[in-house]
Amino acid sequence: MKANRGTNLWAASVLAGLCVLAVPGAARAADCVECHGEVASGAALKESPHAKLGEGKGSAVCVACHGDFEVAGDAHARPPKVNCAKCHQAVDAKMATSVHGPDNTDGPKCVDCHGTHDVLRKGANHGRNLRIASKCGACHEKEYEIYKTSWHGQAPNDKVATCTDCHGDHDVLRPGDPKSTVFRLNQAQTCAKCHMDEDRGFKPEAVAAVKDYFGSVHGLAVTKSGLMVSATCVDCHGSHDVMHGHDSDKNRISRAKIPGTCGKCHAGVVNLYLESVHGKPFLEGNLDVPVCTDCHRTHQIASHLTAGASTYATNVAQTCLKCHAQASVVNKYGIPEARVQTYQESFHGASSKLGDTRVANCASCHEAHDIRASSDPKSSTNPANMSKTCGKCHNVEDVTKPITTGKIHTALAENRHWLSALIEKLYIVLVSVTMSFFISYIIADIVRTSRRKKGGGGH
Amino acid sequence: MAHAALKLLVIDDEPIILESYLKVFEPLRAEFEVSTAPSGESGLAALRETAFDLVITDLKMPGLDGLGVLEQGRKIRPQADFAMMTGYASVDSAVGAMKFGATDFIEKPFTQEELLRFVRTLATSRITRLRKQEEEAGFLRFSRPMLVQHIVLIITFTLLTITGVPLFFPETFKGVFFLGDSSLIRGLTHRIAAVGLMGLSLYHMLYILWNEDGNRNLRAIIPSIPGDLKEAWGNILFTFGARPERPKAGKYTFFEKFEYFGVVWGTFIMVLTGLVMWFTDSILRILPLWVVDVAKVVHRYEAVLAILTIAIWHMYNVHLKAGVFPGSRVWLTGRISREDMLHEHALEFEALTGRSADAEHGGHGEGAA
Repeated sequence: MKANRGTNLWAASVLAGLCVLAVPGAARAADCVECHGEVASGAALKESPHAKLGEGKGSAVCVACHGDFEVAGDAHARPPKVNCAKCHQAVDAKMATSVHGPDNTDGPKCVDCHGTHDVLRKGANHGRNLRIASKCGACHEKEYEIYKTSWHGQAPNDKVATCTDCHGDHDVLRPGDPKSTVFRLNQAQTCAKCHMDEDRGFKPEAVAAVKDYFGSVHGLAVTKSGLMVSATCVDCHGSHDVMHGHDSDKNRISRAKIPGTCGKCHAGVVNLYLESVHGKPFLEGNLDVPVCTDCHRTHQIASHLTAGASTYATNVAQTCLKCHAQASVVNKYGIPEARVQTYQESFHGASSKLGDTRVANCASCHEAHDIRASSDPKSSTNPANMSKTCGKCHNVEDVTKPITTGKIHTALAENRHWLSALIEKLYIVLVSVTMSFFISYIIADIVRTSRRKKGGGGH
Repeated sequence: MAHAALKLLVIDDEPIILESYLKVFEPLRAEFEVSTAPSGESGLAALRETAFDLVITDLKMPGLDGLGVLEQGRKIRPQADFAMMTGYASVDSAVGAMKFGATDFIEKPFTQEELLRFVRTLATSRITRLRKQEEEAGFLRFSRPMLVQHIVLIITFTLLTITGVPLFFPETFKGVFFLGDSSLIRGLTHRIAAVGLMGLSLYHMLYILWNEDGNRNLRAIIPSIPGDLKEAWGNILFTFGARPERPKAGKYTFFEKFEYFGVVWGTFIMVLTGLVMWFTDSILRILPLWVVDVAKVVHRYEAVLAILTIAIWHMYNVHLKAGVFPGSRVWLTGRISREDMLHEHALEFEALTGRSADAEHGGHGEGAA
């Protein structure tokens, strides 16, 4: 339909041009066609939204852009430079604010992106993502090459983000400009523009993840505190090279890459982690071990001081439990069984479950990142270091023997002192016998009293 | 058990009267235990010495006369009954004496039959009066200091339970009032209540050792072997239908003694193990770590034992069982009704009144019918 109408308009304007041939001094399409036939009657111009420009003005469409000029015989002077701003004033004003500058400066010209005779309506063709990217890529070659390999560049549909969706179009600014859409403090909102829009076909959990980010310690640091160094989407997912899914080893959020990705900012703790009982096997290629996100989570990541965080004092046990109570993990690596359960049954565990943040949780004794086997002399749970470890909360730093020889996790039979086990058994017997006696005595008493009442005998 | 003999004091300056009393009541020694005093002054002295039930005094005596004996004697023994003996000429004075609290009077001279009838009537009306008084006011079971101690125990025990039990069921109590969110308050309340309980225990110890009332109760509650075991066994037999009547008990039944010493022992254990946990850091300087673990186990199970015993056994016996339901007020008033006294503490009743519980029981039954 549209194409048809375009053709009709084109025919009409050519006719109109022919009718005013007698008017001297005005350039006519027919004139142009004589020499520039290829361009003036070409398909590109026919498709162009500019095709109708000559309509009703008594002039050729060509002159709408190329201006009026004298034709002497077969030659004419070089026409003046095309000035798109003549019509597109608003766009030009926008350009003037951008890093590229207005059309008449050194930056890219309108035609660099939009083309000349083949200029098209916005969104008129398929493959917009790569088409736009290729225009920008004319100058930004490196970025374009990366973009082409990214999920956005290779997506099966062209609704995905392209250069202008993130950077803006005519008003594009330097990333370092606080007004830029990709300025560190604005960048998450820019991604969210699409990624929080469920109508675009994102899975609800994917949309929820973006929402979670804004409530996370990283998101709040950005949006509330304006902290430039806090992680935004691109720090973990990449920008031009953003990847889809976790499966690709190239993806910086794949399991194998996570410590490296987090370590870009959190170098200190990642180094501790890499020395730990979890980190060493990781370095050897074992991906069963927890990586940063297994304990801290991803988009929901919160400070360990925030109630609800997976690393909040009262949630730590639950977080460790994810692996340490899992038969497959426990069996595969010969981890002492039921360690976390024995903690939960202890005073520390019960109190922690109740909500006490001051009592010891797994990390209080085992450390968070620097977790080491207790046989490791550097381990916080090595007998030699136990006084210091317990001493963090208890006033026992100078106490040695009872602590170095004492057993923790005493709900485990092997750690149990025989007396404690014996006393527990005796108490169970005592309580059962006593309560059985009480209850049977009470039942008998009730029966006896009701019988006597029925019998009518005195008291 | 027969009635204990009625303790009778006769005061008269005429020896012949005193002799006649002794003569009349000699064959009735089982019923009446007669003492005599030849003057008002010596009568009062005897009254100070012995808790007489009945005082019969001549009205006109040299020195302290009958009215004086009445006035001062009632102060010495408020529970005693006073009666007058008088010659014809002073009947009016005897009637006047009744206004001051004398029960009755007998005119001299009297025959032996008249005297016997007079004294028997006095004895009967005394018992009637006492019974009425007992029915109205009951008996004092616990003194005020003991009630206060019990209430402090209820408060501390309840607080300790409320703030301790959540550790058994942390999932359930998570976020429940102050029990979940801030264990600082929970733990602090537990410790404050514990200090309260320790203070109470200390006070109680001093009370039972040095206070007259406390000491009396201590002596009453110390188990007697084999008497108490027999009583317990009798109770079990009765409850399970193998014996027609409940055995008689003193001020404290065997089960009450058992409970009391259960509380004493339990408190000792809980305080000891509680302190070990409270001061773990210091304990570890002298004792191995397993001691703390043992303390935790003991504290935990002793708590279970105590809480269940109170909730099941104590509550049933003091509030829920037939005859008491829906609740006893003894723990508030300190007084026990005559009926409950006869049922539960027959021996105590007999010891206090000198009357047979069985007889009173029967008599009461007829009276009520």
